[in-house]
Amino acid sequence: MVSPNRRQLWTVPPEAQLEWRTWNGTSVVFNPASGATHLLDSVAAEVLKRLETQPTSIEELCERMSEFLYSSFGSSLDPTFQIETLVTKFDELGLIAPTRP
Amino acid sequence: MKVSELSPDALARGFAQGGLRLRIGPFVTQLRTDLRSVAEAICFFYGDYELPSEETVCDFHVRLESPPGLRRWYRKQVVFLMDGQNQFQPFPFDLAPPLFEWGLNWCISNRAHQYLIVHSAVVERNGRAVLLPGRPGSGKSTLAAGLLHRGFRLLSDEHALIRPEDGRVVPVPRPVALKNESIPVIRELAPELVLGPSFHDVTKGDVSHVRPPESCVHRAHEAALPGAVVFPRFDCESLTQLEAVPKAAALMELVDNSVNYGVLGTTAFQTLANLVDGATCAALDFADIERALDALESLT
Repeated sequence: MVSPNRRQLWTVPPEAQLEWRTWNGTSVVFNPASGATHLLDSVAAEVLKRLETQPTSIEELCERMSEFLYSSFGSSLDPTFQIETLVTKFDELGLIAPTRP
Repeated sequence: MKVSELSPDALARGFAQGGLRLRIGPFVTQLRTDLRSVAEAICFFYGDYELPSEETVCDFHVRLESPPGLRRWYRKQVVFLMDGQNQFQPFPFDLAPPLFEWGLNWCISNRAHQYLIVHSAVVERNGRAVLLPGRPGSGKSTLAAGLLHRGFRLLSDEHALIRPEDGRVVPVPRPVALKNESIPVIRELAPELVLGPSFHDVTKGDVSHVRPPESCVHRAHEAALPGAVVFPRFDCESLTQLEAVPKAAALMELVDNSVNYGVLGTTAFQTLANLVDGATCAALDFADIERALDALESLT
């Protein structure tokens, strides 16, 4: 996997109008644009929700989510790798798109 | 007028000469056929069902007939047409009666998009519908037949028709299709249930249908809110185990079992999410039918 540019801004396109349901920290998201339905754990959901709220870079996500990630996984995992992986996957699934400021 | 009010000969003539309308749950099907075996099957399984008048608007226009040419006479075959279009490869002639059921399944799956359709058996007791979604071979029809024996009402053997407006499951009580080993199991478990003849199909194996009890047909206008969703998983080596399924996982599995999810899009997602929200969600591993039925009864 080629690491994405950590300062590239990503966002959920406004026209996407994602539908969410969450139970006990696990979320299901429907993307009307693709017709696909996705199961997300709490970390993935948090990343996607932040990108849905406003354009954000991987670098910013890492900074702002450090406490959340630590509480989810402790210090054993590299949060940057996790977030890079999620952003790449969301891009492949058509949930997010790169954007400019 | 009900099917049982016509003699078998009159029924056969009606189907052959312009066709007859048959009300099955929310659907009216116009059936035209000159095949006596189909008329006899309708007589046997649908005696309690209404024959609407000629003025009634139909949902499906269906014909079962022998194809033209050699196959009309040699190694005879039968074809299923809806709206004049041939929908499947020809079937062996002696499978004409079950072909009507399979064809009707196709009609509902491909046309009834006023409902969210889930591939599922559905029964009801105490006002709560129990959905048993699953692929062929999961045991849903066997369980549905067993639950009839335990006093549940049959809403459907094959399709959960969910009304997006209120989330209720609309009954479409039709013959319950049993396959292979489940046929003798249900015969022994529930001798009061009326089974039709067995047919042998190359892909499905042996197939026999259970006639829906009269009470289920009479109450076909009573929709029900889902109270439970249970994913059956038949395995001949399983111990009986009913375990809770997290709602998010249950929603994903319902999406997977939905027939027209892609057609209804956001409406489908919202309807299934609301359903999961309000229902107990579980998976049932089983090999023994009686123990499986005990487990299901504990949910209602």
